[in-house]
Amino acid sequence: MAGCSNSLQALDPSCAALKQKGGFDKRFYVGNIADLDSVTYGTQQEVTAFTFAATKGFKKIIGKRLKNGAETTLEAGDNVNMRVQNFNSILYCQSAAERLAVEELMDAEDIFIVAESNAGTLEVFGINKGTNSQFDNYGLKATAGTWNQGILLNDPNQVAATFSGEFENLPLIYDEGTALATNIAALDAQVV
Amino acid sequence: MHKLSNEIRRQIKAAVSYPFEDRKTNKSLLVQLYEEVFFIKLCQTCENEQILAYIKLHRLINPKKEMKAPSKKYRFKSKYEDVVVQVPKYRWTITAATLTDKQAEYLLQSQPKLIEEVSKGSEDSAPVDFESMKKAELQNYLDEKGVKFDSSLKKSELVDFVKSL
Repeated sequence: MAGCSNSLQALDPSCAALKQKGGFDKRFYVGNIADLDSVTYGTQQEVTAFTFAATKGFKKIIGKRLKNGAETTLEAGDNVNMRVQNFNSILYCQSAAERLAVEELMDAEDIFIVAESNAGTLEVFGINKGTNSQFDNYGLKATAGTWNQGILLNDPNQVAATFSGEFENLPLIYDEGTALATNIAALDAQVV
Repeated sequence: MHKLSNEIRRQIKAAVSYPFEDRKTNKSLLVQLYEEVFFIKLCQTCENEQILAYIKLHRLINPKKEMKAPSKKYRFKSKYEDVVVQVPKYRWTITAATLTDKQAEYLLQSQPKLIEEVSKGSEDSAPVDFESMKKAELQNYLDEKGVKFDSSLKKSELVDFVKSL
């Protein structure tokens, strides 16, 4: 391993980490990687700010509580190990406008998602924090989607959509030093 | 087969570690230009080292264009010194250590809270005690700030002058 060495860190999780809840809020924010002018990273695995190009910003997607989820898996490679980030959302649509919103989400490439977890963090999916290339070489896209319209009257009628991509990192955390409400207000201010 | 000397290798490593504005180097262009410069045929085994050699050469040829010295006019506020900003449009990865004037001007437009002018001083920095400084120290201080002054001024006059800035 000439020229390469491992960098290891101690891990002694806080009580918050040991007892953190699973799942996500009903609302999440979606943005296009191409619309970002810059991303500001804090120390370690943190994003402190997104700067969008003029007139660009987030779209807010609202579904139901305890329906959205995520998992990230390690994909081992010969030279590098990548993390496959998956954000699993449940979308609801009936009107033509709502259907179009789902359609456009299904066709979008290189997007990123910020979702509020039930543990009280804002999780950032789709942003790469790498050393050899910039974040615009990465992104999420819809990799699975099913609109199950059901059979029975009380069957679920919803679109299950998964957004996935390969990254050098697990999901990042958004500005952990700032109060959740302040961060949400900052994200809301960037909704267009 | 063309092999590189240890000295060239050392110089290449030093050059590669220097802050370089354009981090996305055009590999194929470098290979092409490298051939033009050295008139040698590239081989698989030493291609990477030859490319690095060309990067070194290219930077030596275009020092002002490529080697952007860190800014003396602007800096990150102390609170944000660990921040890293990626700007894909310019292929910039901006850090406190490599901040250039051009990058600082960009950040002043997009994220002004991160940056401050050196002359204005850090929000957290303590005020400078000019009276306790020697005349030479005062002159160095003014030189670093890029302020022109009359070198014949006495120490007390220099103190008054620097306070008036």
